[in-house]
Amino acid sequence: MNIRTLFSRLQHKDLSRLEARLDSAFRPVGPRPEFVKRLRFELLPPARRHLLGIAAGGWQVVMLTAAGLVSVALLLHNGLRMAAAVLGALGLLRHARKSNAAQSAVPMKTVRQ
Amino acid sequence: MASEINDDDAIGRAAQGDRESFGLLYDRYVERIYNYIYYRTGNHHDAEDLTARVFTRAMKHITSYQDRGVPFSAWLYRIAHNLVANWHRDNSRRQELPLEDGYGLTGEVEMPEARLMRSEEQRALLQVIYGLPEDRQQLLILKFVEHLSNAEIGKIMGRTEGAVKSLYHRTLLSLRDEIEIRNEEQRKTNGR
Repeated sequence: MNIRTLFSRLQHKDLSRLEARLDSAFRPVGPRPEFVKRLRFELLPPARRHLLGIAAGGWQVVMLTAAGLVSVALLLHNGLRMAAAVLGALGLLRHARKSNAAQSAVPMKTVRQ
Repeated sequence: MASEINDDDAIGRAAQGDRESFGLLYDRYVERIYNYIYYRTGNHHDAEDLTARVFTRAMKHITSYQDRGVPFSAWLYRIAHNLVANWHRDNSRRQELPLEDGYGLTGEVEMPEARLMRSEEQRALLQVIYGLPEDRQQLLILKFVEHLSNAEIGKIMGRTEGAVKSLYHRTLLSLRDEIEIRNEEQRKTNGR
């Protein structure tokens, strides 16, 4: 065996031992489960519809939407009726004032005997 | 089942805005990225912070991700590598040696003295490793923590398989020499 081969073998043995030490030194440590979970939540927060407990596209959404529209229609209807009532009352009041004023302006006929 | 979706499909869906697909990728790679960053920084606090930044950045840029024949993990490792490099530059401090008890030890029952000796040896070795250039540290971590092949490491580092093999051999030689120098210094110090 020549010197070069011997040196090569010794070097190979040396490096193999070093690799074994490296393998021992570098063990996976892994992140904390709480960290993994929290980061996932921050990156991918659950959608709001899930927080409300309503499934997307479900019949509950349709019902809620319909109820909302009906409520708005009823509110508008009542509002208009109220406005009409107020206007009517104001109109009557004005008519009454005019009538009173007209009666006051006509002079009383005196009966001459 | 989510586990049946391969990376390419998950990436395609995530790029279209499917958040659950990105979540799948996150679940697959978070530990690997964390381990890599942990050994590059030496402590859990910074490892958590930088891991979060890696995935935040990945999620932000997933829509522009292009498959260039490089695995998705390689893309994540590159993001991690750049963030760690910036961290080193901004902090201008040496990597810390992990201080947690039981670091790197197996589950075998050992005598406390033997355990302490092994732990000290590991610390000494890591101290030498942290003195190496960044690319050599990266190579060692990918090889010994993630157990990646030279070809896979080459894709991550942007080098050929042959170049990685050559770099690895040179790294081992310089590591061996450095350890011998430190051992010699230690012997001289103890001999005084």
